[in-house]
Amino acid sequence: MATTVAHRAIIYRMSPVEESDGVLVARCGGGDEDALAALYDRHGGAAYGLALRVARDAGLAEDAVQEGFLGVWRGARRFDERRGSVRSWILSVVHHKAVDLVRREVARRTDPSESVPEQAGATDVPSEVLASFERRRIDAALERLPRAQRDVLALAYFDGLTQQELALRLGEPLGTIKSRTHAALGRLREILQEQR
Amino acid sequence: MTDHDEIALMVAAHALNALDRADERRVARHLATCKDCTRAYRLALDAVAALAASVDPIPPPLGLRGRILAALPAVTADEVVIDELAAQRALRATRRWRATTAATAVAAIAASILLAAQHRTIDDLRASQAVVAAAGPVVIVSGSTGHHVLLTTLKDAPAGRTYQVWSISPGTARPLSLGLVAGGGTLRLGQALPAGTTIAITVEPIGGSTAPTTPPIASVAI
Ligand SMILES: [Zn+2]
Repeated sequence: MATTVAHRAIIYRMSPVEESDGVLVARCGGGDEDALAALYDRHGGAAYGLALRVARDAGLAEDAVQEGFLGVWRGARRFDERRGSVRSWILSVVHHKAVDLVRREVARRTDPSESVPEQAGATDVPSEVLASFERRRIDAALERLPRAQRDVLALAYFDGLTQQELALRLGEPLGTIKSRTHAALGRLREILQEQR
Repeated sequence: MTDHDEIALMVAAHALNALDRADERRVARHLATCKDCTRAYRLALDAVAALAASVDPIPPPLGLRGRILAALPAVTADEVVIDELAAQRALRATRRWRATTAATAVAAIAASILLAAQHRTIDDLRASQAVVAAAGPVVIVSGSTGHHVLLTTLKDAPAGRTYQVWSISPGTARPLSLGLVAGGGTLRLGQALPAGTTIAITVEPIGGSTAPTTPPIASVAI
């Protein structure tokens, strides 16, 4: 892309290469708010979707996303990319906040399975096409889990139940719940690897 | 049952954020000392990341982005120094050139570089003015001398980092460092860069690197 100016000097505009998530996190560590905004633009939708799935309340989900991104801002300097992708880390932080908020609100909550909100706001913009393939792949993997294993994962991760709460809910000993959660996650990982 | 055996069974629940606070602290303490459990925890996190990825993204409420950015805590001491430097530089540029925007300041600097190199021509000055319209870094080739000058219009590099400029020429094995440059700075790249040379900018530790250690943030083929 060269622009000739009056046949004497040439200006080459350098095309920006999209910064990797890792570079953005490093910039957050240096106090660059634009970098956090860029991470939010990339991952805010996934974070909000996850928070809403867990919190089942728009206000709580919003709080979880806000606290989560503040956690990302504060933790940016300690982030280690060898431990996993930036997106996974952000979603993990937001999920943790969502679970915390839900547990604080638990007294006000009725049976969570009764109030799943509509996901009418979900959009599939072109950049999300790959992610939607990934979702289908993971759905297929979850389908292959034995029902009891799938249930403990869903109740723990999406409903935010602690292991004790799970034992109470399912009327089974705590030790059984721990073993099943452990086995379920291990099996899910195996299935995902087999798919690759 | 040893502590390890008991906690090895809770690592998955920890990765799912499904432990109460007391258990969470207990597992975290154990992870700090046990390599096997740390490895199992990372594998568990991979599977949990898949669970997270199974959820449809939903556009967040419009005002949330602004609220998050407004709530960010103030930057820490070493970052303030950088901001002050940037502010001083902007102020100096404004005073010297009576420029009112960063873009005109950049154009002024471009002109000064070309002036200082004594290769001033009307056309070079027009070229520098054209920089006003450019978003992002540009490479200017002086028509009269063939000098290549890089102008950056980037934010300051993160604390402890600097921008480093590289040339990648056909037939050379690895990128050649052309030097370090500030966010709003200029760098003379020399004359007669081989045709097909790519100029790229990366973020490197202070002092620069012998080879790029991060992906380029901007590049152009000359
Ligand atoms: Zn252990």
